Order: sequence, then structure tokens, then C-alpha cells
Amino acid sequence: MSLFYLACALFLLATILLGLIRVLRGPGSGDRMLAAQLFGTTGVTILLLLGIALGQSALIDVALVFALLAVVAAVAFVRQHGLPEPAGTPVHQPPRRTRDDR
Amino acid sequence: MAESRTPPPAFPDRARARLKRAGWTLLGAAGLWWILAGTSALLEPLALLAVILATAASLALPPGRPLALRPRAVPGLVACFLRASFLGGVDVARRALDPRLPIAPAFVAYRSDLPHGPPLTLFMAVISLLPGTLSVRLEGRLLTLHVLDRHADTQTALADLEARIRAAFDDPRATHPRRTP
Amino acid sequence: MIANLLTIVLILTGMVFFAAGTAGLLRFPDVYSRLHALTKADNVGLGLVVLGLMLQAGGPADVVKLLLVWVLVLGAGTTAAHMVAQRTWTHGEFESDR
Repeated sequence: MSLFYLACALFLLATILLGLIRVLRGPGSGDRMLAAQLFGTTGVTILLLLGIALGQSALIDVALVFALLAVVAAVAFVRQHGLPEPAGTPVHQPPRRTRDDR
Repeated sequence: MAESRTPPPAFPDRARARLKRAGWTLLGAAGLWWILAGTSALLEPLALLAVILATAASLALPPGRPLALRPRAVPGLVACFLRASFLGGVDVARRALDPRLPIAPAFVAYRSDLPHGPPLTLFMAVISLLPGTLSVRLEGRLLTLHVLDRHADTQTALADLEARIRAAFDDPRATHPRRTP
Repeated sequence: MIANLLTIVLILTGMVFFAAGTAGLLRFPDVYSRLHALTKADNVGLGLVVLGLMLQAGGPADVVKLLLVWVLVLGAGTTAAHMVAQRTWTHGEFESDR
């Protein structure tokens, strides 16, 4: 049974490696930000599988911390400059920005 | 400390709300400790200290605005989210694994009349779980969404979800104050 | 025995979703569509793995802990997807690397 868990963890590691192709090649910067998400979800799953395969229940706690930090990582990626949004921000439906009903 | 902060008798609801919150904090802190450290660790001095400090903090801190969520509606909402999330995963997995790559991405606008605050935030978060929709931007009450399939009936699904969320929250714009039975 | 079998089936199904998420990440044509793939497929994959592992858990505390992990990742996934989408919308797809 633990061999099965290890094989699954290895498979997930392979999917992370494949996903890293997209992160490396981009092309957009949003694609690079996907790395946080990729490592968040898949990394947590790998940790859970390893935790049960190796009998180390502490790894589940590590997974919990990973899950908590995934949000922080995403915020850090997205708010890296902390600036207000640029002037040329496209607006979808109404032709001008309506801020009064906020 | 609690005596000096006892509210004037004009606001009896406030003291009750604070006590209620302290009770929930006590339960939550003890439950979290139980989850993280196990049953045997719950009676250790450190655990007791942490739980008591958390409860004391919730008594000392000023009460916030009460969350207008109806407790009775929570199980239905959670079940609905779980189902939507599973269907969303199945939908996107099918599209990603199909050799013909059947997607027709587009941007869609949707005007929501949920009140700002928790209802609208929840709405935007859950949209990203629904099959084929991703919330991109909120301007006022105008949502911009990205959809994977522009021919799908997104508006109906969104209106359905919106009605569900509206039914789960008390309307803060209603004039009468909320009473706890 | 039946629990073991069910665990294997659930985890293998989860692996399919992870593979689909990565396939979508590589194949979909724009950032927003890739976000769809990564968020939804991987969340369902993790949910299935968590379900499978719950059957093997030692006690109720472990079950709740696994559930907590999944709920946290679910919340993180939707939030992060929305934030990356909004960032791409406001700053354009190709912002300069500093």
C-alpha cells in the first residue's frame, strides 16, 4: 500500500515538473504567477501522500502550513509592487469607470 | 477588565453578542487544538492557557459587525458549493483532456445586486468554483467574468447562485434590527 | 480490504484530475483559461485524494485535519485564481519583469 502512495507522489512530482514548463516559458507574467498555485495544491497533495506512506503524521501538519501559506504566496506574487492600478486599465462594459456606487 | 467594559444598559444586545462570541471562540480554539495535537494534548497546561487566552481576547476586543449569515442555511450552501466545485473540475478536466480542445473563451459581464461585504465576496469566490466561470474583476456591482464556453448559459447559473446566497444572508438593508431568539 | 480498494480507486481518480490540470495548463491558449484548469481540476484532485486518505485515517482528529487542509486549499485556490486574473486584467498580460 505504501508503495502505491509513493508511486502517486512520484506521479504528482512529474506533473509539477511538466507544469514548470509553462511557468518557465510564460509567455505572460500571469503564467509565472501560476507557480504559486501549482506548488500550493500539488505540493500539499504530495505531502499528504508522503505522510501516510512513510508513517510520518507530522507531514500532514506541514501540509496544513503549506495550505495556509499558499494564500500568502499568491498575495505576494500579485501585490508585488503595491501600487494603485495603472491608468490604462481596460473597463469591460460601461465606457467609463463608475466609482460612486462602491 | 470585563467590568470596566460593561456596556451601558441601553445596549443589552452587545454584551450578549460578546458572550456568545466568547463561547464560540472557546469551542473553536479547543477544537483546533484537538485537531492539531490530538485528544491527549487537550489537557496540557499550555493548551489550557492558549484556549483561555483566546477566550479572554475575544471578551476584551470590541464586538465587530455580526455576520448576517443564517446558520440554518449553511449546510445547504456547503452542499451546493461542493457539488458545483466537483462539476467544475469534471468539466474543465474533460475539456483539457479532449484532443479537440473544445473551449471558446470569452469575457462576460454580470450585474449583481447583492450587498457589498460578505455576500458579494462569497459570490465572487464561488464563481471561480462553478463550471467554466472565473471571476476577474469587480467594479461597483458590475462583475467581469471569464468563461470557458461562451455558448453555455452562464447568466442562468449565476442568477441561481446569487439567489441562493441572498437567501442565506439576512439583508443588512432591512430596517428592523436582527433578533437572536 | 474494501477500504483499501476504495482508497486506491479514489486516489487514482484524483491523479487523473491532476493530470488533466497539468494538461490544461500546457494546452489552453490564454492565462485565464489556464487558471480555470489549474484551480478547478487540481482542487477536485486534492479533494479525491483527501477522501481516499480519510478512509485510512487513525482517528476523528485526523479526518478533520485532512478536511481542514482541503478547505484551506480550496479557499486559497479560488482567491489566488481571482487575484491573478484581476492582476492580468489590470496590468496586461505582459508586464515588464523587474
